[in-house]
Amino acid sequence: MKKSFLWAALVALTLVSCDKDNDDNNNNNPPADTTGKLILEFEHHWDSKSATIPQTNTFTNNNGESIEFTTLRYYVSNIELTDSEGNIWKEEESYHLLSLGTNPVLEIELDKVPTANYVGMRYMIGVDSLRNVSGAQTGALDPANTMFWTWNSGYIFLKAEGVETNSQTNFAYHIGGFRNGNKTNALQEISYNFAPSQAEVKPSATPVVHQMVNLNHLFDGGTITLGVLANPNVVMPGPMAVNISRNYATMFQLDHVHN
Amino acid sequence: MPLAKYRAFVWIGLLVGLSIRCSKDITEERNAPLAFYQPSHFPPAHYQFQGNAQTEGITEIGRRLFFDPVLSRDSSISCENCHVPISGFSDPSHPFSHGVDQNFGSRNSPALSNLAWYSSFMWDGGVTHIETMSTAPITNPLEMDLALSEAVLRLNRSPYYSSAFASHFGVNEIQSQHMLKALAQFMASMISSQSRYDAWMKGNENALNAQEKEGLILFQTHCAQCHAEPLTTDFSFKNNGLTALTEDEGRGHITTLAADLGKFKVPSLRNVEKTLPYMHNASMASLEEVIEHYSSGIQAHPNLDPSLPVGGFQFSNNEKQALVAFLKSLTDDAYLQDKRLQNPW
Ligand code: HEC
Ligand code: HEC
Repeated sequence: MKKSFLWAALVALTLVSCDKDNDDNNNNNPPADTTGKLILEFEHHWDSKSATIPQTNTFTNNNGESIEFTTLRYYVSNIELTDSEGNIWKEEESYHLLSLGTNPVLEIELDKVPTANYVGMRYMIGVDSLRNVSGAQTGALDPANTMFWTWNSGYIFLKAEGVETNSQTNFAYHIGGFRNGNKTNALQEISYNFAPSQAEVKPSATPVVHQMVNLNHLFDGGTITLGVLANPNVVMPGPMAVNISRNYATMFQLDHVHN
Repeated sequence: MPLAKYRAFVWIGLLVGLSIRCSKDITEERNAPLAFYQPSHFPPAHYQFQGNAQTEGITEIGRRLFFDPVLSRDSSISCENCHVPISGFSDPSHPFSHGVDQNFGSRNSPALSNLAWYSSFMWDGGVTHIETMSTAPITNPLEMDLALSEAVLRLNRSPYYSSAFASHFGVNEIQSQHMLKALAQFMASMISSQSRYDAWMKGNENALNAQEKEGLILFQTHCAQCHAEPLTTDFSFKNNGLTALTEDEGRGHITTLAADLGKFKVPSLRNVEKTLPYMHNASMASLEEVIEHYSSGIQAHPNLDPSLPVGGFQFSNNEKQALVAFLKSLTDDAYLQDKRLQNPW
């Protein structure tokens, strides 16, 4: 047994070194001089006020409730870029967990993006259903990040917690759900057309796609008007979670692309 | 970890895994190293160790974790507290499972075996993968009440675990994924396939006596559409008429569908003689009571399965005894006493 293990290790090592040589010619990893980077910026705000945690401004929702966030975290996944020829580039292992802190602007850096002029992009807020049922994950999807429901397997797509300060009512919105089609599927797609701009990715230049994320839309985003007093806790998949996810999908607005 | 390095471990894992599996396919030897095997009379397993190639070392880490109270907040209980090997890995002493601070859960602790064949876990099927299964008891405030980040921190501080994970996963830092995969390898190796019923399945006519065979025929007629042979479950969600009203939403809690209210996963009946009390709500203390339920106690729940008659099947005394006798032939002593499935500490 011991010996065969050593042999296995040896064989495996040889395989790895072959693997490494091949890597440079691999299509998924084009040589560095034909790729560049692209940065996604998410600037959080509440209408005209900048949003951070801890909060420095007071936010009032359309129910007249005063909202103070203590947690805002969400998954951005399955990022795709479309270039001017119509080619689609998909980021590999595209799962990012954004967590709002003292800087209102959060960033995702896309690496090894093929040189091209990009005219649009799309991504998901949440985690696709396949990954929800694929076993123990790591990185952004590590269940230790506490964005995973253990008793009803699945990722929490967006977690917003805080307090309504007039009444001192705590709120917890843990939004997710990928089962049963529309009834509990809270996965939301965000897509942008950059026109008239383009994001010009090349080895020497890193374009930035700047988005504004208006947290007021979590409470009032066109689907429902959410009130903390009426609904302080939405912490499992279901129709209410779907409504809130439709609300927050409208938080994300393309502001500008700069090259 | 760089991808190339990761691949190396996957390869080693695969090769080692293959060599283990080759030798295990043919034998159910209880003194060979513990590993998954595919009994010839079982359907193919649901869990295929994808991305988690089985090795002897990782399976052993999983076993250690299963029996280690380090995974509970106050280091007082391990998985074994509610899943006792000699009781078919169920909890004989508490109708409702018993967690840290003497907290009580609200459901009966189920027996564990043949978990590699499960397509979902828990009475309501809320957990969808054997690798994420353990996150539920570890983090549940009524059970072990430990944050996964804290569990991982403890393992990284432990000399045994840090060196075991380093040599078998090749990682310097243990992540929750490694812990969960190790537990999955152990759980997927808990295979009960050597009861007298199995011997009969495999062609030994004398393995069951006349009464047990009579019970088997009754079972095939009235029970096996849910408790499907040979695993004794089809893993579907059904209501079997325990109560007329919904007291626990069951499957409906997961799907949010009214048609699923009060439905529970059809439990495996392997080693059922040893896994009392019975049902999700632990409402029955003996097999005789269970059979009496199916004979005369089936309640008209709105989601009662149509194959079960309200009021029960009205079995004769002989039939009841035969059914109980058959259920006892599912006891697999080799499994219940398998040293490799017991506390290694
Ligand atoms: C405090 C008691 C308790 C502890 C400790 C405990 N469990 Fe459980 N276990 C339960 C209960 C109760 C259920 C059923 C819960 C439900 O269906 O809602 C369960 C369900 C399961 C299931 C699903 C079985 C099925 O039929 O679907 C598995 C697998 C399992 N536990 C493994 C473990 C592991 C691994 C550990 C240790 C990491 C563990 N349990 C610790 C009580 C416990
Ligand atoms: C319609 C599907 C169905 C049929 C038919 C059926 N059962 Fe069940 N059985 C279940 C379900 C579902 C449960 C779990 C119910 C619960 O806990 O709410 C169960 C539970 C049990 C249990 C308890 C197991 C445990 O570990 O708690 C036993 C024993 C059992 N059934 C035996 C039988 C026998 C014997 C028959 C035939 C006379 C039978 N069942 C017919 C669905 C069925």
